Amino acid sequence: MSAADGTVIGVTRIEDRGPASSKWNLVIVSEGYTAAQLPQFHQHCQDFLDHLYGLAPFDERDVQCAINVHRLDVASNESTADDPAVCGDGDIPSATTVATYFDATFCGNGTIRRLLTVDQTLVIDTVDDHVPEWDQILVIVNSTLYGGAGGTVATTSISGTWENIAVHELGHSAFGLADEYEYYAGCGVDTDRNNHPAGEPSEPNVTLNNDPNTIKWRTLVTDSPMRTSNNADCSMCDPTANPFTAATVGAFEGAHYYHCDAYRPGWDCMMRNFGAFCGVCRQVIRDTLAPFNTPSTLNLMTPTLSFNDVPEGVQTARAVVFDVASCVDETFTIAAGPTVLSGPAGTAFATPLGLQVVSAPATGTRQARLWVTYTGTADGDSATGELTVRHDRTGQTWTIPIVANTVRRPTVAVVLVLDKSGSMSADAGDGRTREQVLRDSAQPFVNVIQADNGIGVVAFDHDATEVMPIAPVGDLNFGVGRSTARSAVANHTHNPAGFTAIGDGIEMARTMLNGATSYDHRAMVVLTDGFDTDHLTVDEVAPGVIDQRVFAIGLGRPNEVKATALTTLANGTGGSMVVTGTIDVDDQFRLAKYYLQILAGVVNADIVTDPDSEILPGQEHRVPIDLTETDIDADVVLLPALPGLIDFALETPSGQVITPGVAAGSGIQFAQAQRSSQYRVVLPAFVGGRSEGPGQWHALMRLDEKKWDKRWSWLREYGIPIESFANAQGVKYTVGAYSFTNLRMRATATQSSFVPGATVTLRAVLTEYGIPIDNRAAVRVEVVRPDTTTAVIQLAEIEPGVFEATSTAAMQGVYRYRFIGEGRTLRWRQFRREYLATVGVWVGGDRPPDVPGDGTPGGGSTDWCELITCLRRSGALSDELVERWRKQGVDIDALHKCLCRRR
Amino acid sequence: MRQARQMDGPVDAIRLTIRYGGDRFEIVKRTRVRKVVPPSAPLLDEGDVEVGSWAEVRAGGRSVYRQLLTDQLGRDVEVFTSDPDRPISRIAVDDPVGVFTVIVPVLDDADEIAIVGPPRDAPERRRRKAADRAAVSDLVTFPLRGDEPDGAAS
Repeated sequence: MSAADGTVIGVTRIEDRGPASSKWNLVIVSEGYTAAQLPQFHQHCQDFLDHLYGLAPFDERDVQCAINVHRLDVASNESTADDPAVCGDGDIPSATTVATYFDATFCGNGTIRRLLTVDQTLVIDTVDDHVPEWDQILVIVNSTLYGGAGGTVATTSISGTWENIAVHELGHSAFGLADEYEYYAGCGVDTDRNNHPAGEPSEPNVTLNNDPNTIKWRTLVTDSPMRTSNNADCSMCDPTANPFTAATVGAFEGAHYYHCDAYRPGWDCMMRNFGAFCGVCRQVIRDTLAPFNTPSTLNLMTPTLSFNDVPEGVQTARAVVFDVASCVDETFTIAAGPTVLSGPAGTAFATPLGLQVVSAPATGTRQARLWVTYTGTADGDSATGELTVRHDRTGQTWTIPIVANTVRRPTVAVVLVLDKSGSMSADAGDGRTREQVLRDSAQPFVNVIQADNGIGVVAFDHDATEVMPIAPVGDLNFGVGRSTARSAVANHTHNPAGFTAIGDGIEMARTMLNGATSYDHRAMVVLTDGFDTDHLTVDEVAPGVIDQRVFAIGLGRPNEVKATALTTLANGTGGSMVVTGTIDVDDQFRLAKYYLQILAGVVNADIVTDPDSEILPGQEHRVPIDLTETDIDADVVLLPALPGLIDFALETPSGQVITPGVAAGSGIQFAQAQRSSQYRVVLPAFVGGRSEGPGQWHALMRLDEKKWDKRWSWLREYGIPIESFANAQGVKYTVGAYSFTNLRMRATATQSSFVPGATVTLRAVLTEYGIPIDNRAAVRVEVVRPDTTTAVIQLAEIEPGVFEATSTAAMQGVYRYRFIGEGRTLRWRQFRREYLATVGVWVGGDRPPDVPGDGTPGGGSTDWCELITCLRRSGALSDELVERWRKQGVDIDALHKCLCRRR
Repeated sequence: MRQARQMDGPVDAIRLTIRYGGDRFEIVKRTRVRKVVPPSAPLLDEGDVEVGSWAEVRAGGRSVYRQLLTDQLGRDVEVFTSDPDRPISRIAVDDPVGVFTVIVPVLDDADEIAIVGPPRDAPERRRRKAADRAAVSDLVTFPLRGDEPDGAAS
């Protein structure tokens, strides 16, 4: 029979019109509902609100906007309320005693059974704890017996017309309204209610004054002369039926518990007989709630719609934006346009999401957007237009000018320079040969590169070969250049007798790129697994001659690849050098990720996220991808270790799931190749009738159990249960998001030398629209040392947007640095950027580079290196003989490499 | 009568929870809260006569904020029945006891709050002397300034 008899579950704001401090707060409290019955209480709350909001003036926008409604769920141990065995009014009680939280009881004062009371102090304390700004409490008691009581803690049971009882009580306690009925105990019952005593009632809806010129509600009187009525027999209630219309406001005799001398403004009223509120009561309610209703505000935030520097052929969306503060639906409609006022033929502005937007009520200010698109025409074009937007509720209109211009999207010609020397047949460390790793890793580069760029392929051993001239990449799925490059990479094989002349490959790529004058930028990506063993070497490439950016990948340990010279060359052209180290089975995507990172660098994109994982059958992985208003487009790329087993989908910030089948209809491109799957999203995308732009997207990966079972069905032939196998391992994958963006992180790991003990300077620069990101971000670096131990280094912001720290590369091998920049955009949206860098140090790393001879005995050097070079190149040592010796334990190619490296 | 000064937006306010029994009133809880408060009822000047119950914030004896307490002091109760001819009626309460709350703005110059209403007579007497109901007076006053403890009553 107290607070021990139940539990306070919590409060829910079921009508939210704004901060509690600014609104009139009604708190509806449950009493006599068990935990299992709380859903019924929720329905009763809704029933009450439906009833309330159906009554004038609560059906008016300004009144509703003033009110917050909070539902306080309190579970009692037992249901209903006490109904004592003895009550003084002769009514027949049910003699019930139940354990409820607020101890609700009929016959609350010991004499009147219909008086339903609760422990008011406990109710107030409980509500104070949850909604300190409350204005009115309504306790709904879970009983079908008639009953209730007024006051700031009003109670009602759920009997008959209980919603009216509750509204009537609110009229008293919340709005100070008097009873308008003209009896006390009842018509025909009262004997002392003939004439109202002197003294004007304080309440606004009853009066002793029926002078139309001075009556307290004179401004609300509906007729002239004022309608009135008089009770012909003051010993009884006036039996006359209403002779006036329901909305009439006048002065009608019989009110405030007396048959005569007191007047009410309406014939019927909620405060008289549960009718509609009379005109005076309505106005009192409006006036009381007016201070709680913040007026709506609408501000156009985009006086001009600007499509600046839209690339040719690219559709770009911009929104007419209104800041809206309102507690009701606000509808904006494009009443005219968008119309083209000037521009070349083909200029068009469109409205992909229709001509209307409804801004839903919400706390605080929110934005309403009407989307307009423009597709870039030809480089140098400009266009103008306009549209007119109407606010439907007020009829206010705005005419908004549109300006647009088209530019060419910077394009890049890139040449893949691939090592095909004999050593590419060696084991890479994870069971694949180096050339297999190369093929697997370069394919995603070809799959992902944007359509308007160019691509070519060069292969080199001791000579260089143009495998594929530079050609436009073309469509994501069917581009001719892309297909040709895919074949070139897929067919890349080593030459068993091939030596290594990295300089030759670079020179050929340079020549090809010099001819690719139709592209804005040019770059080459050089992959090699060894030292130069033939001319031209890297060092022999004239440093000043290479005017394209060079990105280099050393496949192997730093002392096995030409790290020193390649690093110097790459850094000198604005490119970068990474060294893979030994590839192992747990890190099989490393080279592919380097390729994709280089692609991002080549096309000026940024890495949003780039995690590795392993997925088991039946599992679904969700990888978050934070895209912001600074991002123009994004590629989300899945690289699976085993193709065709992982279902890959995208989830938009609003929760819509885009599968390959859905993508085509949404303007999002999907492409699938042997080694990668990819979604390309231009922001904002329009999916399912709504715009999907900045926010947290997710890459969804699911390993299909049926496909998995089919993939490993052969195991059954050997009596191996697939289930046990599947439990032991899944499919490794990496999923990356690469964004063409205005929020960029440029990171470098610069080493003071190439020997152990070198100082490594880790530096990252974060910019947003070219402006340093000042005190809005942090950068950390996850380090993997050569011995696979790890560390995290927090970079200090040494100046706005510039983050730096130093570290020591103490042990021989490859240090891998994963830069992670996280922070907030100018619009305070969360962002993330990643970058991978490597540093290689080894004993003797700073020694001058070795230079092979010219390949002919006596032609510059007479040592064993030149001799073996001559024998192999001339055919004096045949491939068959070399292979026979290899089987017998003499690897002549390895010997040749040793001799040529350290003379 | 005169209109009270209107307050825009949330203000510092005091919520008083007051228990009554017979002619006794006591504050059982006093909490501060920042919120919009309901507008004041028209203020009474000397010579203005009204009958009813209200809470009145005063500054130097002059009314600065008034809030009606209609049907909250419990001298009779409203009873609802399923009888369509008498859906609402009233029954007098001999020994009214109960709790009500009032929330008023914190005003710089306010020094007391008064609960005003008809005398707390027995209902039988009130019915016999109906004309006496015209008279209202301070039923209780509480100071609004100083370190007065909760529950202080005059």
